[in-house]
Amino acid sequence: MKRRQRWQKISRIVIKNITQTRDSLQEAQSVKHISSPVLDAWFTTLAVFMFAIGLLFTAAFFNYGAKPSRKNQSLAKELTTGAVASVFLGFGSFSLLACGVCV
Amino acid sequence: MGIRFDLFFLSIAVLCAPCLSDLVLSKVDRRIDLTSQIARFTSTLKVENIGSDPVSEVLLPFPDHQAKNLAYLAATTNEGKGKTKGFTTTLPVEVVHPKGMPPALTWYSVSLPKGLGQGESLTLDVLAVFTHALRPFPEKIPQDQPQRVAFQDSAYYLSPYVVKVQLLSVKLPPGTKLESHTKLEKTEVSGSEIKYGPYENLPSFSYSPIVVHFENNQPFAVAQELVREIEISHWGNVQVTEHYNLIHGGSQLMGEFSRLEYQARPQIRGASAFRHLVAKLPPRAHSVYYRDEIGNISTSHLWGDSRKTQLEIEPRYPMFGGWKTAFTIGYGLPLKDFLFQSEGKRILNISFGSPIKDLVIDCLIVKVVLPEGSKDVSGSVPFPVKQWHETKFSHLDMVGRPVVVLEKMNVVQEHNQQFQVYYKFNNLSLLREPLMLISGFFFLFIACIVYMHADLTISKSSASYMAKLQWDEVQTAIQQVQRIINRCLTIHDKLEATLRDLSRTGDMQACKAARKAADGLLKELSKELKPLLAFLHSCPQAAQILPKVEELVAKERELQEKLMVKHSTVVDSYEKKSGGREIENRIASIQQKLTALRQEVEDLLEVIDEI
Repeated sequence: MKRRQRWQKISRIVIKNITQTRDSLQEAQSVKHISSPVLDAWFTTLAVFMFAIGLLFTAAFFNYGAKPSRKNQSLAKELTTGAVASVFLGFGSFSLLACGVCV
Repeated sequence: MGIRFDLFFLSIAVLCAPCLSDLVLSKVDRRIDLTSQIARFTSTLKVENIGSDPVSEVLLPFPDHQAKNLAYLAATTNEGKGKTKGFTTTLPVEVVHPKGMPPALTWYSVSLPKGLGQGESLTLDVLAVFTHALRPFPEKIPQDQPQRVAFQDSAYYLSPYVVKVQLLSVKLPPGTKLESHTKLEKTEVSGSEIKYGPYENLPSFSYSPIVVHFENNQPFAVAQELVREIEISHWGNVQVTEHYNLIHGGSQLMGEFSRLEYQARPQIRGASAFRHLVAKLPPRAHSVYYRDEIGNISTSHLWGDSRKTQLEIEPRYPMFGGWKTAFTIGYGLPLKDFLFQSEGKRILNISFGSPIKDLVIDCLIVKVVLPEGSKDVSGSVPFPVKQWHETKFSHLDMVGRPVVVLEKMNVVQEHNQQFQVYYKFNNLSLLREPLMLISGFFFLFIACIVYMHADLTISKSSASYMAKLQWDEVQTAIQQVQRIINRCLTIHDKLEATLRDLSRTGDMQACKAARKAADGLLKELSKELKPLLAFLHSCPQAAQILPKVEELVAKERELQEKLMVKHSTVVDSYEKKSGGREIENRIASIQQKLTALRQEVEDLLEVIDEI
C-alpha cells in the first residue's frame, strides 16, 4: 500500500516535470544541461595550488637572472621559465577571480 | 466622463448592428476578480456555430479605455467532454482590425486550430488581466481612512455575437465594505460577491455600464520601472540583478504621517499601507543581497527548500499612498539549471517577470548579458515584446559582451513565464579570459628579461674611458715597482747593518749568512720586476714615465752591485784581519758612490710619486 502510494506520488511529479519541460521548451529534441568545465567547489583549491606553483617558478626565474653576468647565459631557458611561471600565475589569479564569480 | 461616452457609444451600437451571425454564444459566464490591485476577468464562453461554413476565429472586443490597461490576454479551450478533462491548449490571440465595426473598440481574435464545423459547439476560457483598472476614489485620504476604489465595467458582455444566456459575478476582497454599486434588474449581493444576471437573449454589442465602489486595502505595489539584468558566465554562474522603482499606486496620503499612531494601531491608522514584499526565487539561489543607494538593507528574511527560495523584504519605511522607494535585489543561480545545449546552439531558459508576488510593473526591461564570443544571439518570448541588441563592457573584456534587451509595458504576474535566448558559443572562447591574464604576466616576465640583458652604462668604448682604464693599470704597475724597489732598499739597509754588527761583534758566519739571504731575496725581487717592466713597455700610456722607471731600476741595480762589492771587501778584510783604518780606506770611494746613488734613487722615487 505504501509502495503504491509512493509510486503514485513519483509518477505525479514525473508527469508534472514532463509537462513543465514540454510547456517551457518548444522543441522536442533531446536537450542536455551545460555546466562549467571546472566544478564550483574546486576553484579555491585550484587557485591556491596554481598560485603556489606559479610563485615557485617565478622564484626560479629571478634566481636564474639575479646571478651576475655569466659567459653562457641562455635566453631560451629564461623564456621557458618565464612562460611556465606566467601560465600558472595566470590560471591561479583567474581561479581567484572565479571564486567570487567576478568573471 | 467615461460613462457618458459609453452611453453615447451604446446608442450608436444599437443603431448600426453589424452582421456576424455565424456564431452564437449560448452561455457566457463572467467572473471579475477584484481581490487584489489587478482586475482579472475570467470569461467562459460556449460558442456555437449556427451558420453553414466552418468558422476558424472568434472575435473579442474591448473598449479602448479598458484596452489600454490590458496587460495579459489568453484563451484556452478544454478538450474532452463531461468529467474527463483533457489537456488545456492555449490558443493564439492577436490584434485584428475588422472593417465595418463600431469605433473606439480594440479587437482581438482567437484562432481555433481546427475550425468549428456546422452545428458544433466549443467552450472557450478567456482570461484578461487589467492593471490600473481600480481607480482610487477618493484620490487623497488622510492616514486614518481606509482606501476606497471605484471599478467600472459593463453588466452585459460586449460581443459582436448574440448572447443567449449570460451572467456576471464580481468578487470583492473578503470582509470589506461595499460602498455603493449600480443596481440593475436581477442584482444580488451575497457576502463579498455581487451577481448580475442571468440575462437572456441580448442583442450583439449590448452594453450597460456599472460602477462598483468598495474598500480595498490590499497592497497596491506598482513598479514604475524594473530593470532585470541576467548575466551568464560559462564558469558556472547566472547572476540576476533587479533594480526596482516602487510606488504605492493607491489613494495618496493627504496631511501628515504620524509614526506614533501608525505603530500603535497599524490596522486603523494606515490600513492601506504595506510593509512586506515576498519574492519567490528559483531553488538553489545563493549570494542574495538586498540594498539601495544608501547601503545594505538588513530587514529581510530568506529561507529555501528544494523547490524555491523565498525572500521576504521590508523597505526602510512603510509604503503609504503616493510614496516611492527604490532598491536593488541580486542573487546568483547555478548555471546547469538554466543553460542547455541542443543542435549546436545554446539555450538559456529563465523566467521573464519579477519574482515578487502581485507586483504591477509599468515598464519592464530585461537585459540578458552573454559572455564574450557569443554569436547569432536571438531571444524568443511567448508574448510580444520589443527586442534590440546592445554591448556591455565588464570584467576582462576586449570587445564587449553582447546584450539582448527585451522591453515590455504593463507586466503582471501572468507574464512570469519562461523565455529562451538562443546563441552559439565556441568552447575554445572559454579560454579567452585566462589567456588574457597569462599574457599579462608573461609580458611582465619579458620586461624583466629585457631589463636584465640590457647594458645601461653610459659610455664603454669611448677613447677617454679606455685611456683612463689604461692609466689606472699603469699606475698600479708603477706602484708595484716602487714597492719592490723600496724592499730592495730595505735589504741594502739590513746588509749595512750586518756590516756594522760585524765591526762590533766580529761574527763572520752571521755576516755571510745574511749576505746569502740578501742575495736570494734580491734575485726574487728582480724576477718580479721583469714582467712589470715588460707591461710598462707595451703600454703606450706609460711612454712618458718609462724612461724614468728604467733609470730608477738601472740605478738600483748599480747600487746593488756596489753594495755587494763593499760587503765582500769588508768581509775579506776582516778575514785577513787588517785594521779598521785600512778597511775604511778601501771602501771610501765605493761608499761615496753608494751614498750618491742612494740619493739619486730616492730622488727618482719622489719624482715618480708626484706623477
